Amino acid sequence: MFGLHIWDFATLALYLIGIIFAGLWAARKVKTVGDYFMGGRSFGKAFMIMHAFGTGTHTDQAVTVAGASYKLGLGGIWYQWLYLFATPFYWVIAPIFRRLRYITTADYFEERFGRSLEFTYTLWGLLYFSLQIGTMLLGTGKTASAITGGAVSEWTAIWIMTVLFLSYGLMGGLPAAIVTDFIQGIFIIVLSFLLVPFVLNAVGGFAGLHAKVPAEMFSLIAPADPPPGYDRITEYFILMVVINALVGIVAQPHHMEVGGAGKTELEGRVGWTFGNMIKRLCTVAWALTGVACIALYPDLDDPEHAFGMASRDLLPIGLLGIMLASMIAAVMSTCDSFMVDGAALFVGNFYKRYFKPEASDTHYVNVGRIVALFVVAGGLLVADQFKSVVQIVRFSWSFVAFFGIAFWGGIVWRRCNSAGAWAGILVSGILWYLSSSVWGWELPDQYLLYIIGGFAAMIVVSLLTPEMDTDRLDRFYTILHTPVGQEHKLREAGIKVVLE
Amino acid sequence: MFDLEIRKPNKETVVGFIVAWICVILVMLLTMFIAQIGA
Repeated sequence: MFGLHIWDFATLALYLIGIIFAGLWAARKVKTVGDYFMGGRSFGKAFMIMHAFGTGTHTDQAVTVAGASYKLGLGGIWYQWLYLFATPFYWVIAPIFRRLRYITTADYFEERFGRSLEFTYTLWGLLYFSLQIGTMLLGTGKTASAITGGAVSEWTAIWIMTVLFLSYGLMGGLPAAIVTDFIQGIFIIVLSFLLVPFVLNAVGGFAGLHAKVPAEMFSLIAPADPPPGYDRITEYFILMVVINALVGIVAQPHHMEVGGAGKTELEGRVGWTFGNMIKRLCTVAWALTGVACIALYPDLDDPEHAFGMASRDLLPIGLLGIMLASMIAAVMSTCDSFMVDGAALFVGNFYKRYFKPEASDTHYVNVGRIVALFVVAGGLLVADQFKSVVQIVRFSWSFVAFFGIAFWGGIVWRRCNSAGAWAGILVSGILWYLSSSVWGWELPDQYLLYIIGGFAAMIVVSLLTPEMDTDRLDRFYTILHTPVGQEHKLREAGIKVVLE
Repeated sequence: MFDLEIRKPNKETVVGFIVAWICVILVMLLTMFIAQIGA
């Protein structure tokens, strides 16, 4: 059935029905906008860990890393490990998001810099979510097609996944996403490690692997002359990628809820840091699978097919169904959150701001559901336009950093103003375009140029233009410096927050 | 000119940050160990 044995199909169907029920069960708790978009800030550490892990981990990453490792050796791991050295900093960054008490990152830009930046960020955020949803669906569609030997086409797989996460995500919002992420996170771990013993067995164990694959493919530092389409991964490359990650991570639009949906700051930082730490471990398994595929499939035209082909050829009946379920889990656990986060951006920072400032929570939640559909439709359009997963990933790495420069400026420097924030974004964007598209620089050199240029522009322009309104800054920094649990201090200062 | 809004980190921040770095180092060592098995 669909290129699958009946037991594989039954395993897959059972999982999908179960996840829909779990999502709909969580949906009954949704009463307000705060519930729908932020889960009422009610989640504990275990849920937050699995939510951060599930949201941050998708099948296309396994596909990309396995593909890159197939081409570059173990050094291909850096296509996902680029955030490895940034991970400990999540412990420091996460409380910022919980403490700001906003629903979206666009709320931050509005409070700190004004509506022009809020509006621009909202547009960018919606584009970002569509881009990411497209990437994930495309990557998983490819793999599902490879696993079923083409019986299920890329686009059939994409449509099935889309209908599934829409079925519970639209009703249940973020609570449904977080509850299902807990189950799906377990499946993602299965996805990562299930294939490893089978590929190792197929190549004759670790000894066989070393006998069949050149020694240099086991180095964490990739070859100096990589094939076309891949980067020269050196210590300098890794350093610049980490710096770029630390600049940009704060501007990824879903991180406001990844850091803010927990009960307290501790839940946010434990979830964000250690959810991602689990992902780093899973990445090792993806890379190992890719290296083993060098021995298994020496002449693959598309390295991104390696993971799917190994699954199809090596997994026994029953386990292939679990692998497919896990792949779908990894996509749905991210797409459901991104869909809700995109809707939150549109409803809170666009629709409510410019069209209907006073309406019931039910109205906003219903508008959010409709918008969520459009966010996903945008993702499907993107998936149709971009043919390589790596191409999309590279594109998004740079874009988040432009807004990250403005974000950090607003957090750490009181003198940073709206003009300075705009200058940081525009100058870094222009430098990125020149260095990547006109001058053809390598990725780390692009990062170095636009990060230094962006921060310099932000500082200079802020100093040359008037300071921002003192009351506005006092209100912002009072919120930022008031720990969660001490909201009475905000009330005493006459500061209202949307959702404590 | 650069009156930065950075406060002294509390104990939870410092300890958690160190623990997270230890985890990173352990993940890297584990990866290098796995890469050498059977070599």
